[in-house]
Amino acid sequence: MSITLGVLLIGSSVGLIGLSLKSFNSVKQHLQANSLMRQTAEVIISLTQDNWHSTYDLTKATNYKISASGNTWSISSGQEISTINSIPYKRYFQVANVNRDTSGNITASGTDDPSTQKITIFLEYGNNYLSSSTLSFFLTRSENNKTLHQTDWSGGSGQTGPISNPGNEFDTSSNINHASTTGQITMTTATTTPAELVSSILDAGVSDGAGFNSLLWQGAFNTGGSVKFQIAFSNCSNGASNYPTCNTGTWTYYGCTNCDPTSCSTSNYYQPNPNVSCRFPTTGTASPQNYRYIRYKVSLSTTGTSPTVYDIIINWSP
Amino acid sequence: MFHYKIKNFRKGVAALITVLSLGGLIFTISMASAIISFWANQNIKSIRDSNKAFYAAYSGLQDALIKLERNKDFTGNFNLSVNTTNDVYTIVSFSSGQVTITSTSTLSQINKKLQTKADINATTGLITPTSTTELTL
Repeated sequence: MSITLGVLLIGSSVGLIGLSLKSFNSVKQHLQANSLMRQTAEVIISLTQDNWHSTYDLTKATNYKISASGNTWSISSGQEISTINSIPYKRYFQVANVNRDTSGNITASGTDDPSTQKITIFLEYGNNYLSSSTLSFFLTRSENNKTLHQTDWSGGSGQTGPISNPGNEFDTSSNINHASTTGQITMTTATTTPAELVSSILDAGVSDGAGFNSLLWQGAFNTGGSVKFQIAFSNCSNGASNYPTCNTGTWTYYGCTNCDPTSCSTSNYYQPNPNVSCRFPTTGTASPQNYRYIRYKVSLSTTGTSPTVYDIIINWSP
Repeated sequence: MFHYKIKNFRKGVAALITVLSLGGLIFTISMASAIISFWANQNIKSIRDSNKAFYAAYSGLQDALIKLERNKDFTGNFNLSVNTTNDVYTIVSFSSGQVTITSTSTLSQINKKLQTKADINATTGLITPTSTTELTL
């Protein structure tokens, strides 16, 4: 009887221990999988924050892997196939474009937003890679927000650029009073004929192109005044359209009526109220996304007194 | 003869007690181990979902930041679909020149809540994040 009981108890105990070991091994695999997924996510986020193009420039829906060399992580094509703690795994990720609707919300349809990408990480692990897991998230080009800000034009015309900080000068102007009061521009003669000021060529310094987010100005319309903007952009410092040869074309100015990114052309203008952001389009010929150089043209006109402009700001992300 | 039987009986009882004690102890430990591993296995899904919910909530913060850079006065709330339809809910609010973005993600009864605070320059609209933290629910 003792032997029978002993065999039963020990037998069932061995069975339970075997089950536990198998289960613990499974837990170990899954926990390790989570760590690997999280590591991949953090590396991708870090590399993207450092340089948007490190993920944006990748071919969409194609497998990529992260790899470490010394103290530096990098991205290359293919899958990472390795073993850690005796657990084999395949790890890779894909990048996808993201669309937004006219309100700027992420949607399945709509227009492409080159400043937003969807990352999906894949992990296959365990014997014969039978277990798998995915992790998805969105990244936006919102790190290290910067502005090209001009609040003084008293230095006068003649500074074509390119220049990273416009300082107090600009390229050309007509009927613009920039010197009477430091820190503002008005019309020299108040008239319905537009007075214009063309800025220097502003250099974002991002060789693969920056993300230009919005236009903002501070000032006042005054009585009957109008303030309108257009922007021109290029990867060539001379405004040419055939980068990198840069010998064809010149600066072409675009605007969008009512700041509507679907209503843009060379004959339209950005006309936001003072202190109201006007977002730039993300697609089409009027989109300044992923260009290095940008410049603005501001037009003042009035049926009464001249409008006053104190600040012109272009919000951008490297 | 009788003494011999008594002696064997005592030996048998002793053996039975020993087997029951040791076997019971081993069985109890094995059962506890099995229960713990079963419980741990059940929690794996929660850990995995927690990971997914965390990065979904992070997506909400990212989306809010680019919206603010495109419109410095952006406020209110919006939904975002990362793992499932509208699984992320993000609120953007202003107070004293500072914007607070709170993003909550829900996945299979797991909730993750992240919050970013950022300064907004009143003149230029420049966004400067000052902190990002995970909030307890």
